[in-house]
Amino acid sequence: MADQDALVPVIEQPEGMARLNITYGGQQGDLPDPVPFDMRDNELKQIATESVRTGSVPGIDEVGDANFDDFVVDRFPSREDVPYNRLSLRPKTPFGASGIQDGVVLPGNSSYAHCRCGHCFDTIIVNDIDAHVEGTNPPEDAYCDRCLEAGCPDKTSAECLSTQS
Amino acid sequence: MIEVAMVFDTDGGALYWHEPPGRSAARIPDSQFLWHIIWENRENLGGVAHTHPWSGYVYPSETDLTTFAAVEAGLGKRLVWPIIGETTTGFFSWDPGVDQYQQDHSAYWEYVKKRSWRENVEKLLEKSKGDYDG
Repeated sequence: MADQDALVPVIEQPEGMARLNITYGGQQGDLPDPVPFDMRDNELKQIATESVRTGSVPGIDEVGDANFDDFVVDRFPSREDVPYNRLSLRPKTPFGASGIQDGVVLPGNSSYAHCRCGHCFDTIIVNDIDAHVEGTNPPEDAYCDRCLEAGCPDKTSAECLSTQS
Repeated sequence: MIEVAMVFDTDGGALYWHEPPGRSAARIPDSQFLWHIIWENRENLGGVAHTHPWSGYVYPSETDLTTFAAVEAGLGKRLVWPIIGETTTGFFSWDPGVDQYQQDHSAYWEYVKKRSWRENVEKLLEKSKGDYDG
């Protein structure tokens, strides 16, 4: 009869290190070598990018243009039933307006709307909507900060148009 | 008003109602559990809808677009991303012809014919009438 403890894989893991699990292209795999548990997200993403692009993650096919910019790292310290540190690199899942912190409540007479440039898809807060036509329609000058800086209102800015794709 | 999301299958049936703490009228925060649901249902997953609880045209935000792309990269498959507003609905999906996310009118008509989808849209809007859930 199998010992229940045998279901937990025995992993030799140096102090302070962790297994990095990567999800990409409908596949999952662990990086062959452990990484520091406290390694920064950007460094972990860089390692994952190079590893997936070179096909060196068992279980994940080589993807030459793999990109983890919009992935996030979950960190799971070791515990009794899983006695080793784990890191998981997965896609992010937030929705909504850019740059708005969790828990922000809009004032009663404000809303948010799409940047008027029509290209960047960014979302902006429209304050005092009562002062504008049709309630939630943004005013004429309601461009996001990036588009304002880029001079996007005339729709000729390279920075603004570059966000179309 | 508050944003709500729904993970749905290819028949428009609800697989999971996403109402995490910390959401607001402006955004739904990142969620490890939402990714878990998406991954576990990847075989028959149709997409993820979320509400923009105000009237007027609906557009994906920059955050929405990068989430669409990241989830699809993780899954290795394309999905449909409906945005449900108080007065309008938009279906968005990747259009390889123009290399960007576009309104997907064929997906809209495909789903809107399904009774389960129409009922779930009503539920989404009802759930969006709540207050900030911090």
